[in-house]
Amino acid sequence: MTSLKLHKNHIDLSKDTLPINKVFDVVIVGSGAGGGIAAEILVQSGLSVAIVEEGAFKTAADFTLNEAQAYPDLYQEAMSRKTKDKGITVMQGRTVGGSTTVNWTSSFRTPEKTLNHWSEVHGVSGFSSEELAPWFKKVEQQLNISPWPIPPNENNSILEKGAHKLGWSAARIPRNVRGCANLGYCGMGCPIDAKQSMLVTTIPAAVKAGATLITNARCQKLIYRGEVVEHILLSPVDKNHQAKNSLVKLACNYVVLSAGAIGTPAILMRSKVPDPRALIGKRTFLHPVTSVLADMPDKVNAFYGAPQSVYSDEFLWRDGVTGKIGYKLEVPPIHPVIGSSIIPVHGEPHSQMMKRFPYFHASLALLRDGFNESSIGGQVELDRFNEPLLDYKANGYLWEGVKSALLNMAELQFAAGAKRIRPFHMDAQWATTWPAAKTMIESLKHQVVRTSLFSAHVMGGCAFGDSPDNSVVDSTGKSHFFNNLSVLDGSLFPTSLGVNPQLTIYAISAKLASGLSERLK
Amino acid sequence: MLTRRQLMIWSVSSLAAFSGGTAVYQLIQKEDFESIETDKYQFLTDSDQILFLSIAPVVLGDTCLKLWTQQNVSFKTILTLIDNAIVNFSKRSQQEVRELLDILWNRAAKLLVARVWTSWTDADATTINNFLQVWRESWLVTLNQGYQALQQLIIAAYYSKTESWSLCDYPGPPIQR
Ligand SMILES: Cc1cc2nc3c(=O)[nH]c(=O)nc-3n(C[C@H](O)[C@H](O)[C@H](O)COP(=O)(O)OP(=O)(O)OC[C@H]3O[C@@H](n4cnc5c(N)ncnc54)[C@H](O)[C@@H]3O)c2cc1C
Ligand code: SF4
Repeated sequence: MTSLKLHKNHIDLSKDTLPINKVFDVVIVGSGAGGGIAAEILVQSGLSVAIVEEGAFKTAADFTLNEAQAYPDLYQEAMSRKTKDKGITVMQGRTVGGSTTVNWTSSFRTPEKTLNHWSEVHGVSGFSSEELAPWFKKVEQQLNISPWPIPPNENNSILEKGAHKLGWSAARIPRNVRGCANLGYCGMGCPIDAKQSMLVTTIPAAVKAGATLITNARCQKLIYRGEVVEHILLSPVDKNHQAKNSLVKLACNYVVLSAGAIGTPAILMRSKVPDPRALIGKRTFLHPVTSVLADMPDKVNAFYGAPQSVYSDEFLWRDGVTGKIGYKLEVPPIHPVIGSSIIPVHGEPHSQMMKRFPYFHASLALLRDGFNESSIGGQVELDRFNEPLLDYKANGYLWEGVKSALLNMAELQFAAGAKRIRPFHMDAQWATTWPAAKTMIESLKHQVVRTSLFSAHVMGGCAFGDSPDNSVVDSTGKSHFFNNLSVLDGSLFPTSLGVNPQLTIYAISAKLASGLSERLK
Repeated sequence: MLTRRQLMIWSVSSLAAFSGGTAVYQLIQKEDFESIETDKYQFLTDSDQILFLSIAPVVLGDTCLKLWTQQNVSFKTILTLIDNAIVNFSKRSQQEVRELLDILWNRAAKLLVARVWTSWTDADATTINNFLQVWRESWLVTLNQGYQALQQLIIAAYYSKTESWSLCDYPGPPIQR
């Protein structure tokens, strides 16, 4: 894999130049879940393909498992990306392989309820569970997705134990790994290429089959005449990951946008693509995450071991599909930089808490946004530097779910033996019993910034569907406006999912890219 | 004529001598304040350096400071770590940090917003802690955001350093590179 670095098909735009006068059949912008899958399928059908990625080309040999190196190297905005009002920390990858290079390997098929909702309410066609099943099967085989056979680490075991004690459902998570050494550093790039991310699977396969990989290259805008994109403009990216002012032209006959949610709508917005119904960048969903910290009697060492191996769907559909917001329970890995900086206190109280670091367990709830009328998601905007910014406002509908989830997680943690628990909220205190925790959580007022929220699942903003009235692209991923542009990534989703998104993006992109390769051949 | 930088250094050493409480510089090395380095950092200005050298010891607390002293880590390392982090932020976030630091340095705004003293360099630890608490507890979201930005920048910088990990009993990654 590392040899790819020296491969003649790799162009690092921060120091190399583009081939002159070359017109690619297809240019794919973004090398993450959607772009990676699309690249391999399109190149194998005989098309000439270029993959444009704003991140750098980093491989296992570069992954030091050190947060100080991983966040600036591999994440959008060095992990400092937040929503406009700073209420939600947004984690997204920015490197070859996109977020799949840093994700935690949980692999779920899309819930049937979600797919039905898309078809019934959002006019998406061709994506019933039956229609997607062969595509799930294909990528599950390709990425070696199977339930994790190794016993969960203590952090995950606590979730399992608590759920069982309370009679709640809990199950093991399928993962996309091959020869995983159970290290626990998926979020900093897998050091042994065990994670079957796009970085070690589809991208090298595509490059081997002739695709050109262009890194440190940000797609600024599309240049089009009428309904045809003629070329795209790229800026080289410097060592601090800032786009330089210069622009270079890359010509192609077809464009696939796979820059991810936030990234893909931003390109369309910078290009001032006609958008009469103002749909681009709207309905961007996050699976907002709320979390509770628990101090356990024995060491948990939540930094070691497969980060996510247990989940509970007890509350995912607690009020049906479109009622009160449902949520999935999982756990996050905890490493010192991220773990310390999200504890919202300072001085000695902070360091005294950090002394208990190895004893920490955290549960998280990912809230299924976008299914109810009160859950409209966020809007991507461009800031004064023409860079994207997500305006996502939490409201009463979301806060009700946050409160309910905090209560469930606290109860579960005490059932699993926690000594004390503390929700991630500026006004929260440690509670040493479940009744005390209940009273404390019920009294917490939820407010932007005071309540800590996170997201590693950015979805939507370029919804697909049959009607241009409520979607940006059609159900095949092709733009309603352009003749030669498709979107293939997580921005297609008309709502969030209720499960971690990578497998859904893989399967949908595989299906749509196969259709596209037929059309382009 | 004194340059701005000389003036700041002068004010550190003289004002501190008169201040009643524990001046923050007494928590760390006085030399740190006296050797503000212009042009060393990509983002931090001279006044930003003084600001962080004043605030960071209070955000971190004694236990953190003592550990770095034991480990022979110069406290000024925090500046390099913070500077390295900020230059990778988006241009918009960098501008927001700049605005925040300017507000904190600007005396008029400081009196209005932080409601405290006349110069960062003579502020004692209690005063700075009060300022942090006021911003944290305020009903104004902007101040909460300001608190969060300072707290996260400083704490993340501290724990990004291998030498800090013994404080939280973190053994480090299983594979060393
Ligand atoms: C820390 C973390 C943990 C996660 N854990 C899981 C998990 O366990 N299971 C799961 O299912 N999902 C997980 N996810 C989410 C999952 O990885 C993403 O939902 C998925 O990868 C999104 O795919 P995508 O193709 O839409 O975008 P991405 O994979 O994010 O790829 C988009 C790519 O486009 C590039 N790009 C953006 N703009 C431009 C531009 N203008 N020009 C050029 N390139 C551009 C980006 O740099 C990026 O590489 C996690 C995510 C994170 C961040
Ligand atoms: S847990 Fe497995 S997949 Fe994740 S980084 Fe470690 S070895 Fe790689």
